[in-house]
Amino acid sequence: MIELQNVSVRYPNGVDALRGVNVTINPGEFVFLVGPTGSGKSTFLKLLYREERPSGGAVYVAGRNVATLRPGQIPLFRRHIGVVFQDFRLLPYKNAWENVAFALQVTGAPRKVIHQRVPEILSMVGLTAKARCLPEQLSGGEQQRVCIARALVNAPPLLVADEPTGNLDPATSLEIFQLLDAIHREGTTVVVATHDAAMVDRLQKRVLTFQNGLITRDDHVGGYDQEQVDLFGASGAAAGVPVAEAAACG
Amino acid sequence: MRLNSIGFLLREALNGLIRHRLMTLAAISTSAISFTVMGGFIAVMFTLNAISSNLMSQLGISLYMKEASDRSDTLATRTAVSRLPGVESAVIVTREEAWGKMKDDLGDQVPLQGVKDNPLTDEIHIRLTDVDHVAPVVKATRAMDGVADVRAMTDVVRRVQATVRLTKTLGAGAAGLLLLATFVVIANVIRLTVFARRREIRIMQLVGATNGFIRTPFLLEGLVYGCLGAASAGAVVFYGGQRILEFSHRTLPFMPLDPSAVPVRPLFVALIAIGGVVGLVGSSASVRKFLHT
Repeated sequence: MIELQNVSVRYPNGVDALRGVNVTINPGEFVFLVGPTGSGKSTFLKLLYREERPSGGAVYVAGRNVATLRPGQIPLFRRHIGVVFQDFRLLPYKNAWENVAFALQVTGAPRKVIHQRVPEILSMVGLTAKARCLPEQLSGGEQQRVCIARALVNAPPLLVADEPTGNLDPATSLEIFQLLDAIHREGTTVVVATHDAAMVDRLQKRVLTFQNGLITRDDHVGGYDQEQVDLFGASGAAAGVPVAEAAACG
Repeated sequence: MRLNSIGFLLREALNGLIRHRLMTLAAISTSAISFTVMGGFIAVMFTLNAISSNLMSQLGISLYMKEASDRSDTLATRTAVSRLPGVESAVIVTREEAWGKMKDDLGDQVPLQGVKDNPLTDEIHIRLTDVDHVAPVVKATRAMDGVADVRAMTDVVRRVQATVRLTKTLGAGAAGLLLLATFVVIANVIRLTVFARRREIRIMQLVGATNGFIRTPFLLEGLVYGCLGAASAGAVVFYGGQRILEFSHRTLPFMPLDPSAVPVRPLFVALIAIGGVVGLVGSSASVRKFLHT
């Protein structure tokens, strides 16, 4: 699914964000990117959806060298990658339904498909009752769920999340990670950059640790530390989509 | 772009205009003010041009036949003159009519009783469609058989001609500068509206919207800013201006103010078209800055 070959990224200010990174992520994997701020996690993710270009090396996503994409090919490429942001990046004047539908409308999807797919995905993230709410009427966790719904509505094989719980409280963060885990169990490759040590420890997924633009650790069943807390195993919640339906706005 | 996207993009453009109504109002009013200045200048140029042409055509050319010529010569000359390019009318004033008029005009002021024979010759009074034809018509008529003299107020004509030419050149230059200024002002206002929505553009890019898809609503909005601004300016300047000219023409009939001098409808349509182009180009240039992927 993802392959980085000796990838380096140097910003115009001379900062080396990545230095000769080599890594392969297989289809269907769930990978955490951890490390201190400025270690290269976000740059790594930006390479995947071609917001950044490598200064050296090659980045392959779904068999395509991202660095060689022509400007006209980038939008079409991005439709195959769902992106979740720390600050949600929702269109403020569109309600939850419209924000999700927008990702389909830009692809020229027929109305019928949009009206079928959007309710499905909103139901999946537990926001059916909040479909007509504007972002400002939603809590942080709900806004992040809209962002995830928007990222998933085109059924991308790869979901990329950059600190998706950075602005959320621990309980809401747990909900979001449960949702990401459920999405992963449906077969989507998920790559998440996070500082949330507790979640990384609990979910026990593959962990890539970044430091100074290098991957210093690649632990296939790891955590922030070696303690393993089987959060879902005890409750059994990980077996299905564990998100409770939210109440309507207003 | 797929067909089912067109309705969506039109709605997006309309929603954009309504949602950012203060910006819309600012853009349309700026555009209207700029086009009012430009349109007003154009209307004044047309009016001045019409006034000068009117004055010039009233000057006319007087052609005097030789003493030896007879009436048939005068008629033949008039026919030849009428065929010259730029001649609107050629009217014969016979030597008898001229003599009678002279006697009437002078009355008792000058004693003409002693003059028994009519000393005058036939005259052809020529009016031209355009002042530019004065010189060629004078030249052509002087070369005709039977013509004794041709008189045009050559010096006056030349001076007025030079003034009209200078006014036209300066006017075209000033109109060009005004158009450029209008474009810069409108483009900057549109750039502000786009700048306020740069985050929106970024989000669209990240969910996979093509540049064409992102650009289209902004172009439509720019088109509306330009066309509506130009239309309101045109309505005020051309239609309002025409009412003023009509009123002036009625109340001051001796003033050479011709309401038909300004071709209102073509100018109105042209101003809207210019507004549309300025709006489109302005918004296209403004959006392009934010479309780098």
